[in-house]
Amino acid sequence: MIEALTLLFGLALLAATAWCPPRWTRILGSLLFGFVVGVVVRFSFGGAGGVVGGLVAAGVAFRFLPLLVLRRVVFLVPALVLLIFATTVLMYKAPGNPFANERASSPQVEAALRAQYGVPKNANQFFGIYMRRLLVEGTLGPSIKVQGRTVEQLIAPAFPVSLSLGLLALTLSVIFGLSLGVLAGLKRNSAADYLSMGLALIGISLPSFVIGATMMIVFSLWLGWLPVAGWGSFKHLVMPALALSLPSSAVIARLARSGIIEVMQQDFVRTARAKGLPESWVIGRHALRGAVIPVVSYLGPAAAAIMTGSFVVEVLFAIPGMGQWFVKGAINRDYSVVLGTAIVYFGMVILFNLLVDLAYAWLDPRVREERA
Amino acid sequence: MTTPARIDAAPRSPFQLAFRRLLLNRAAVAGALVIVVMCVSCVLLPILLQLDPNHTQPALRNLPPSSRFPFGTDSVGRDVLARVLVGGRASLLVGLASTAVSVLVGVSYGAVAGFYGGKVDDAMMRFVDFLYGLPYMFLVILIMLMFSETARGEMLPVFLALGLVQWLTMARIVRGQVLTLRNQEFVQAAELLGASDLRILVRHVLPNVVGVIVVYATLMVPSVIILESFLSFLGLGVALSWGQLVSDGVAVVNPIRSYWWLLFWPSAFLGLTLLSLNFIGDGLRDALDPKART
Amino acid sequence: MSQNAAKDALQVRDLSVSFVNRDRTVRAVEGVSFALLPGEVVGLVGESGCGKSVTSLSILGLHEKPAGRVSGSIRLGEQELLGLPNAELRRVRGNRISMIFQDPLTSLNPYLRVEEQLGEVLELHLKMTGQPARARMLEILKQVGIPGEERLRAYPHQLSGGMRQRICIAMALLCNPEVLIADEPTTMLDVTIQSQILDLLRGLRRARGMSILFITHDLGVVAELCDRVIVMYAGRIVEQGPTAELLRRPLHPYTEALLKSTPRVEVKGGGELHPIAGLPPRLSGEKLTECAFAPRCTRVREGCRGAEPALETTPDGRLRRCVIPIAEMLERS
Repeated sequence: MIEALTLLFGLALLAATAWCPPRWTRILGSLLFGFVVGVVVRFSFGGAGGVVGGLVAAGVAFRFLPLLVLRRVVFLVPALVLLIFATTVLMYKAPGNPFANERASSPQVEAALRAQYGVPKNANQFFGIYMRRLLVEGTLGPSIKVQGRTVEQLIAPAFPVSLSLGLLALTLSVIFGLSLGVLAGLKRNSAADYLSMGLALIGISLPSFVIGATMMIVFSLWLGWLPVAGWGSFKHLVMPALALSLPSSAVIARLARSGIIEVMQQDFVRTARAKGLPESWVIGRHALRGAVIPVVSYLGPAAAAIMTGSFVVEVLFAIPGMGQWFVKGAINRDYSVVLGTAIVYFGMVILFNLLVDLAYAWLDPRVREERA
Repeated sequence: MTTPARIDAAPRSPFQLAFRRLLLNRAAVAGALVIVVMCVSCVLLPILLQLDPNHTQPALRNLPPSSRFPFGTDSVGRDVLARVLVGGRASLLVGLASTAVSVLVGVSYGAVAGFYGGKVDDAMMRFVDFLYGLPYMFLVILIMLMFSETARGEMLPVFLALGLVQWLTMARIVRGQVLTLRNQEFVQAAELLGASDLRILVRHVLPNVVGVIVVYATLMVPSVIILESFLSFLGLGVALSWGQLVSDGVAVVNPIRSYWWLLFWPSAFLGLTLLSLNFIGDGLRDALDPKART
Repeated sequence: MSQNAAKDALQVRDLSVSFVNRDRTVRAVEGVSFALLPGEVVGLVGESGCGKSVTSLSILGLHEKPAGRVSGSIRLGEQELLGLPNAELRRVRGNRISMIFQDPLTSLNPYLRVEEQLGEVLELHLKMTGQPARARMLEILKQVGIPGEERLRAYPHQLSGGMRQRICIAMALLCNPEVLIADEPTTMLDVTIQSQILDLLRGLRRARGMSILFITHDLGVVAELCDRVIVMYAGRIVEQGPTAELLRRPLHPYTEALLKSTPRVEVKGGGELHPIAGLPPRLSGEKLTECAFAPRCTRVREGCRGAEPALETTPDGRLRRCVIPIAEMLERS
């Protein structure tokens, strides 16, 4: 009951940020930004480093970041906290708890374990303990199931794995999607167009693990070109990254195609030709931006889709990324691990969306006017 | 003396015109036929042919396709054809039901946001923008885990969880449409006549939004089915669905015997259904707004 | 056609343009011929769909592709433009012949600054970059009435409609073209700005000896700016002559009807509007069996049907495509 109320209150608070006046937004946004940066820096550089990093970040934000971005920060940081809270509540609502199957535990043993790990029976209390531990002590807490390890120790090696896989997949989807889409749009109704769009349709009609499995069968088992699964070399990256990137590629290709077609019909393209510009300049300097903008808008959801897909692809190709920690943690009811991975995932997403916002403002000067 | 240009005698509603355009789209029509055949087959064929997807016959396990078992058998001797057809029922049902949930939630949310505009809209859409960028599978998985002991393999939680994932797109689109329509004169006229907000919304605004809703709902079904297959792959989905079958098929892939039929048939059905749905959705979109046709 | 063809800045002869749309052919322009003398301003007038825009776009090869058929001849001085390979044609565009369009907001790239859009032209045709390019831009901007450096760094959406059109004109003038084609440049501007732009064009023409082909449907603008007027209907030229003469004594019923339909301030309140009834014909390419304007003409008679009237020269050098005797046209109601 209390949890529901807290959630509702949090949501109302978030909604209220819409009414924040510009001056306050700049101050509050910079502070929150600095705070988050400080907490993150602290993991690698200790308490002092965290404070310094935080202050510097706050200053930079105050002076340089556009209002648009700071408004987002004011909304997103509390939202992140709320998300963590929501995740905690969900975990607590799930049947079972971390200590349920530990040798036939008597209530005293359980109570002792709970105290040791800081996992009370109440979700609110746990949330309080967890946040305090995170902000004051700068740690994600001990893993309940893996003895003697903190969550950061567990996730740290997995994080770069998932990150590189995800970034590679995203880059591939943008490159493939954009080129294919623009090409198709420029040569409308040609064989190239139908072929590209056909491929794109297939890309969105099959789940990534099906594509991955097919690739596995063809390229590993039949042809033997690539290793079946695992991690370690560049060859291990190829199939998972491709499988992961295909659905997003397809969507981007379709967006780019309609984007470029629409732009090419605009008057300013005609003006560009009337000035005598060679077609390469017309497309490259004038038209392309119009095709890129809808794609950039999609990058946020694309990243989310790739993250979603990564759970499945990591399992399929036995890749030691964060996905497996999350799933294992969830099944074992290892609250700290689940929250730790949740924070990293959500944080990455938020960061990425902020970057996309900045990119969008850079691409479309009409949006930049918001710089109060 | 003037020769007037020819005037079309029979007036047609925009929906009728759109429908005619749709019929001209061969891909969309083909897709629709495929879907109908698929639905009918999955629902009726197992009954007509007396197929049992759960009848295990260990002696007949892992047989490649033959005349007796057109799709082969799986690792415990079950008829893959039966499993694919019956599994199809679940996948299609999940698609429909989850989309229905999304549409319900999304349309209500978007209509309210678009109708009231201003700060209300601002706040509501902030929320949507935020959720849009999340790896929602995260939360879906957690939700599924929540129910995993009590209702493993059941459909209802899957409907709800997946429906709650997709409503964002619908909300955004409906809000955009409602916002535009809101400022049209016919709405203002209704207001002047004293119609209540709800009445205006339901009788004047929504009928004009229906087209867009239908288009995006059609395009949503494939994504939901794919998401369900993800869940199945992780062991959290419905007990017998295409996703589950594909996942099982992938699990037995090994360098010596590929057991390709375990992977191929469910994937083919899945892919074909989704492709058809996409064709229909694209066709609907082109039919309803030919200016946007590319 | 002017007396001494060699002195023409631009000469269009027998231009015909048709488009094929799935299974229908549309003849947008049919046998159009005219010439521009250096420093002359010629107005091209007609209602929407009469082919004036297509004509002007064809000069620079900017018409919709794929085009059905384009035939005839378009000469810029000595050079034949029709059939020229694209690479050559590009050297003419923006350089020897420039064009400005109707909507200055959509004609400029919203994502690029003014200086980038102007700079492109200089870089491409005159191989100018850096400081000399900047100097030239500032000079041209001053000539079109936009002094000061700040505008160079601006984006189009930060400027007013009139200013944007001036920027477009500046962009067109950068390489000192011999001919400027202006496709309804004032239609989207309000009346006060409109007259400023017209003043600007008048001044520029005088200063540079540049010919202007001014396309419009507004006879008032024609009266203010043009030396000569060409009236088009259904893809054909139906009348041509010096502005003052043509407007005072039209020799074609269509011109007459256009003039009558223009609302006038002097008419006492309560006067009727005289629109031209009916719609222009759809041109599908078969030979016309009557005058194109016949269905809507108030003076139509026997001789108008049977065959399309030919374009004839009148004793005082005007052109008309009508069988009605001149004397009858001149006795106005």
